[in-house]
Amino acid sequence: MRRLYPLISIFGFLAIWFIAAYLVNDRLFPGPHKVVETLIDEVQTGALLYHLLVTLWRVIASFLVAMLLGTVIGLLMGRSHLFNGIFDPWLVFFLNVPALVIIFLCYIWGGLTEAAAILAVVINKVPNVAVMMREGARALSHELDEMARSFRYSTWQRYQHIVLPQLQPFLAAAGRSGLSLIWKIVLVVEFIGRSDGVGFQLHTYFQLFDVAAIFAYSVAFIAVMLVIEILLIQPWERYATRWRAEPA
Amino acid sequence: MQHVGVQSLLKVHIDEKTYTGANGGQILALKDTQFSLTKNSFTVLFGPSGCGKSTLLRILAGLDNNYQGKVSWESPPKTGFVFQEPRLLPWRSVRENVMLSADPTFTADDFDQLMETMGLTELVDNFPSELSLGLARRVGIARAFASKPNLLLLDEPFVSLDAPTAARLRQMVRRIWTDNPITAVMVTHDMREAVELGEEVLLFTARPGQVRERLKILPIDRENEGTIEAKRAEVKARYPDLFEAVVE
Repeated sequence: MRRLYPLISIFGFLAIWFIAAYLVNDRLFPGPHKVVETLIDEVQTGALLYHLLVTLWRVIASFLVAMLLGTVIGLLMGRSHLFNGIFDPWLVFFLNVPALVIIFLCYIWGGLTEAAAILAVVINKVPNVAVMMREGARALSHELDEMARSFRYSTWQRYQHIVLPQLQPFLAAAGRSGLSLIWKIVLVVEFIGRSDGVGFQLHTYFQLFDVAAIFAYSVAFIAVMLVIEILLIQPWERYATRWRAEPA
Repeated sequence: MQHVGVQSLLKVHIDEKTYTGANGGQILALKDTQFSLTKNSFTVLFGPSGCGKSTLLRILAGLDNNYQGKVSWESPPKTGFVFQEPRLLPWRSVRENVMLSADPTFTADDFDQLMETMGLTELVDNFPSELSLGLARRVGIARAFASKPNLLLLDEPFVSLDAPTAARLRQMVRRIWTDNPITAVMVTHDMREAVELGEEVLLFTARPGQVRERLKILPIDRENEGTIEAKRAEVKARYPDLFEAVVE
């Protein structure tokens, strides 16, 4: 019975939506069936798939660059007082600069280009990753480091078997929050200064006040992110944490 | 066994070793500590808690170079460290934990045999979280032997185990060591353990630790519980004050 609750919740919501849309009977408040119709239309013209893929590539590119940069900066800050002293004020600064300001400046100085778009997303995300990875670096076990030194592990062995497994939960947390933050920023970046991608399509349909299409693109993109979560992130986490004893 | 004229493998002369306490003050751990070890001897460092025995072991392992004095080796040692908390990699199996530290000449056959001797054959694919403390300690000991050290360092390897488990583990260590003697130094505050395994016991004073007495244990019949207990009682009768400071 308990497994049915989420299904009841979802179908209940759809039913209420359907009835409300029927009663309101306004183009600006389409029912679920209208959204599905638009979705099918957009799939048939090929527009949906094209814009989804463009956005997905931007998400993946900026995600990888931001994770790499943020991890390196965070580790340096967590391991060295010098780096921490130098970078800390800037970390606080960039954590608090509005995302929009960064996007505007990147476009103004870099032109309305792909590189400027990706850079804007990366600058928005790097401070978050750095903060989390700094905590990870600070939590590295001194005892295991000593063990590795006494048994003369090579540098590569230390990273592979001692440092990375300890950073794994921090990487997972940064990756999780990173993905959801990044795809939202990517849409804004596309909205403001790109001529393709889901954000651009939303912009177009916003100007047309086509709410059904706005819903259709949102639902499609959320579905893509769910698939990534279920097919990539969750299996990786299960593998990486397989050594943990099952909670009794 | 120590013979006249056997060259010492290692000479230790620590003038002074201090460390910074939790409140920021300097604590003198060792002062004017001198002793030497001969090749393939089993030496026990015995003394009250906080007398600097473990600090000394870390100095021998090369994990702590911040002291005044001199440790001179006949040839550079290859150390195998058995830590008090086993310090296994939680994310690696028993097999990987042992093999990661193993000497390049340590073969798969050697591994199987070592696991057999340590009673770990059934557990090689388990993760440390699935092991009891006694079993984890065994893995820690196996790891040290697999690294084929010429200096084996043991930091209270049997502490906080129940009596039968500790006795079994002591027997295992004694068996491996007797089959293939290497220079070994063990820290303990349990005289029974010291008598059962050591050829020689260095009695340490309370902090700052100094070698107060060099006790020869051999010859002794180690298979006989009675003789071990008699020896322990004899030492206790001779140095009652040392035992007062030690919680047995």
